[in-house]
Amino acid sequence: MSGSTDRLQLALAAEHAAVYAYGVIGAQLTGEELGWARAADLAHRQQRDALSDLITAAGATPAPAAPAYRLPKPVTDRAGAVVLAVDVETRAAAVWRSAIGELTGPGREVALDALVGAAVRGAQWRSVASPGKPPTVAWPGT
Amino acid sequence: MPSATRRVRSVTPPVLTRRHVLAGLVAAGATGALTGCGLVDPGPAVPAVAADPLESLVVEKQALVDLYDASIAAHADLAERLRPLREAHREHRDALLELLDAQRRAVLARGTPPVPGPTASAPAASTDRTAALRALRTAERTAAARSRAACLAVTDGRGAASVAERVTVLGCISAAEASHEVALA
Repeated sequence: MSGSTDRLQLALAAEHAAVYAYGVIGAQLTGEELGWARAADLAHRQQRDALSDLITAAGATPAPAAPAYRLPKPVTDRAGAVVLAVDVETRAAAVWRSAIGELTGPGREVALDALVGAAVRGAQWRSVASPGKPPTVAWPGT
Repeated sequence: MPSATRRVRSVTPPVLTRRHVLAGLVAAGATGALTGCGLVDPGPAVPAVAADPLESLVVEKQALVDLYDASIAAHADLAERLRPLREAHREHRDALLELLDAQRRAVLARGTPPVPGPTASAPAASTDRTAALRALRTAERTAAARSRAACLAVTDGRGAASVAERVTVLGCISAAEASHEVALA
């Protein structure tokens, strides 16, 4: 169980970072894109909470969020915000992809929902970050 | 060795099918025993390796590839959008084949026509652009739900693949299919 708990902690760290990032992202967006950012923020908060429950149920202590996270680049405008959103969802898909194989029962379902959500949001953000390019990837998380 | 009951139950034809793949599965039922290593004769018409639930997903991915082929042929202006999605389904089909036991894989391969192309049972795409896109979205939604169910249902590894591999491949396929709706909007 400890191997899968480690992977859950990694996924939890990514979810904490995603919640932080969406605070920064949302501040630069308006209209429909702001709506996407708010929905994504909520989804990542729910995944964070579901993960904390799974880690607790496995007898471990969920790692807390850091006070702040270093972003790959400073985000000062809409273009930077959507690029960061693509990055957040790509990373989320990767951590969930690496966790899902070790999980069974409700844990696997949480991971699957998170992987699907990250793939869908990733495609959504890519469609506005790089219009005209294919927004989807054949293997989310790779 | 799986029990005889399990073998019988497992040869149920897949829901979505093309004639040639189904023919391959039927042929397996008839000839599979010949390739078994038989100190103990399993009896005639029993496959040496039980059918795998993922086989129907392989058939389904091929049906999606066919639907995209038909849609691209009918709507040249959609080709650029649709090709990457078709390619993803091809990759998914091949990855699922890799998860199968080698013998079952050979069975499915035997059912594949030597020359790829539309067959009598190949799907038709609507000549109306909006309707064609809607049909693809519906097909993707159905596929994502089936891949999801298959991912959650994995309890044992087969062939060379472990449980973790099967779960990961199926989870990624389900996620990719769900994301295709964004490109089809």
